[in-house]
Amino acid sequence: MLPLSGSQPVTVIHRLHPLTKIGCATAVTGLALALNRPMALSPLLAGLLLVMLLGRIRLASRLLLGLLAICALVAAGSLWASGDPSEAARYGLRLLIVAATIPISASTTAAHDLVHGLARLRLPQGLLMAVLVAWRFFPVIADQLRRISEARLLRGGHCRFGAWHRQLMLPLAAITIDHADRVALALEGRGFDVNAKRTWYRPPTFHFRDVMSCVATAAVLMAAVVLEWR
Amino acid sequence: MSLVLERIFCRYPGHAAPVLRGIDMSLASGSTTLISGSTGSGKSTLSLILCGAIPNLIDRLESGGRVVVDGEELTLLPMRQVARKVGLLMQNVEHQLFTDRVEDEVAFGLENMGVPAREIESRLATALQAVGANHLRGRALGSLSSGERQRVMLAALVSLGQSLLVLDEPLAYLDRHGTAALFNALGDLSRAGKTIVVFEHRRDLVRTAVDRELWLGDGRLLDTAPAVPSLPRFEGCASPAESRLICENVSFLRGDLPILRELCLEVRAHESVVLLGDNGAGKTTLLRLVLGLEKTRSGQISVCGLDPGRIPTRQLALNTALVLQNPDHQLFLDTVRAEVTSARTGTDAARAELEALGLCGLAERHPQSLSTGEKRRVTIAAALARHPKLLLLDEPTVGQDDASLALVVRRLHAYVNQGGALLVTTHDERAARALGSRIVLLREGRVIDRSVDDHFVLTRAR
Repeated sequence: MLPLSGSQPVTVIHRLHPLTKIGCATAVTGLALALNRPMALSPLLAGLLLVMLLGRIRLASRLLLGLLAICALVAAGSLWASGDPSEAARYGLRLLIVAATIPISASTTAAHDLVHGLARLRLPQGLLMAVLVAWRFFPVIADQLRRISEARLLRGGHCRFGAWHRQLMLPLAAITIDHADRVALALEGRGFDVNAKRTWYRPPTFHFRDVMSCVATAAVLMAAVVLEWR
Repeated sequence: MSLVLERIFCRYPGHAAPVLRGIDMSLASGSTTLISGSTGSGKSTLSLILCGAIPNLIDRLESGGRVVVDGEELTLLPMRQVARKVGLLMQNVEHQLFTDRVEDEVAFGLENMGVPAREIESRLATALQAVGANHLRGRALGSLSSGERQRVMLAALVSLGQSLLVLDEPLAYLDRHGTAALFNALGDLSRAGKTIVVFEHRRDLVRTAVDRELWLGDGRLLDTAPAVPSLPRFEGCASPAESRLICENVSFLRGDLPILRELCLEVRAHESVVLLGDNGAGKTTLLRLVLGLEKTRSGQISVCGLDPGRIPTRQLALNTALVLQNPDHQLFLDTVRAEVTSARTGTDAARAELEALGLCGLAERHPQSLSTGEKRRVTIAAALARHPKLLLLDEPTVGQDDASLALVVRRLHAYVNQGGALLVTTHDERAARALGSRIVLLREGRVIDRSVDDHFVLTRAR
């Protein structure tokens, strides 16, 4: 299950309006793609690290290592192709910034809050519910995949090419279809109708901290722009 | 009458015999009724008809008859309308949770039905109070136990003002605290005028909390259910021999949370040990440590003389087998026979296991087409056919009817008598007493010195 007050610390980052987080993350990602100088990208990375500290976000070591490895691989590939260390650093940093914004937003935003936030953008109700279900669906499926892999190991299974689809994908498909059926039943049983008007209980509201976060993000973006064109 | 069923009929495509053959039933407001029956008797089908999923969501079946709740016929209404009258609590409540916090979850159905925000607050407070879950306000669902989540979902259903509640195997994942709390909540709801129908295999436990018991057999509801059969008790023919599993001062942390604390346990050949404990006591974690799927923080584990921390799980699996809680994770092949037969087992051993566990008639079926109880027996058969020296079973009784459970118990007794070593985790008192030559109580990661009678006193005191 994703972000949970009670099982995780609730920090100022957790309390931000989901649209604030989406907006700031989009601005940081967009600028990271536009900037060219590695020096200019560094304030963005520093800003993200600060947010992780404030939000007390602890990425799983496997996820962190995987992320760093992919970024290093991209940088090494770029260096090999262009022979330009600056370009390699640019691509590596860019990827790191873009990839880091996703777990930061995901681990500090409750699914229901995210959907509430998106509802303010007047997105279609069916799409919102799909986001809500998918938000909960992916961790469930990741967990199922882990259990199936373990079960295969316990049967003395080998990862032979050609057998993986049967030994992993077949049970996963069966579980996924079963899960989808039950979720559909549960949704209907809780009175959900894609065409009916819905009300919202306790929708998230904007606070002064959201304004301050936007100002802080704007300051970091300005610093990056100044370093780019200085 | 709050609930009236008239001539309820249902036939699955490709099946000559209907699963339900004209069921008639009337239940008064405020009554609690247990409906049990053997695996495949149509309990799930009937529960889906009651909540309107058949024919609204599952329309490829041939079905008929009338479901009337509080004088209103529901058969022709869309499921969204039926949801205002009938609430379904699913076996695995995880499928029904859509949000992260208690209040949001209870409010979810009310939001769907367009209830104004101000009214939602008062209705959710009343519903949480009604199921004894008021103290859970403000909590994250992820921090709740299975029983607490189930009560939150009950509150979510009650908040919609439904007069009929249908519970599908509600005890499947509950420990004794969860079971006792659920029975209390059902008692309160019943006194508040809700009509409750419980579909459950564990009749011995539920019958103390209901007004009436019905038996679904041969497609019909009968007023007299057969007596709960007593399970065969373990009668060891040989004294325990060499050690197959030794745990010495094993500790394990998940994050900063201690799960096991200096646990000591030994399982020998010719011995069957049942691990009893509430949710979170560390039972499943111990099984995972034994097979090297987790690493101990401190202490020593020896499995048939091997250290699971040092050798690959695949190598451990040559002498050891684990049957997981969810059989879907362990079924990979196209037929039941293929699932049980492998290069190591041979066809004779597979045939013997299929026969012993009552699966011969299902040998050519696809494992994913079976009921949960049947799937679980297939995974047990597949494990036993490999002749493991140590067999680990995680909650083997979920979804098993009395007859199937008796088959499993007999086969496991034979396995132990033939020299096997068995370690079982369960919440089910009846199965624990039948399976264990020794019962070990776990609490907060430690083996505790307490009698099994004292452990289960919570669920009996009513």
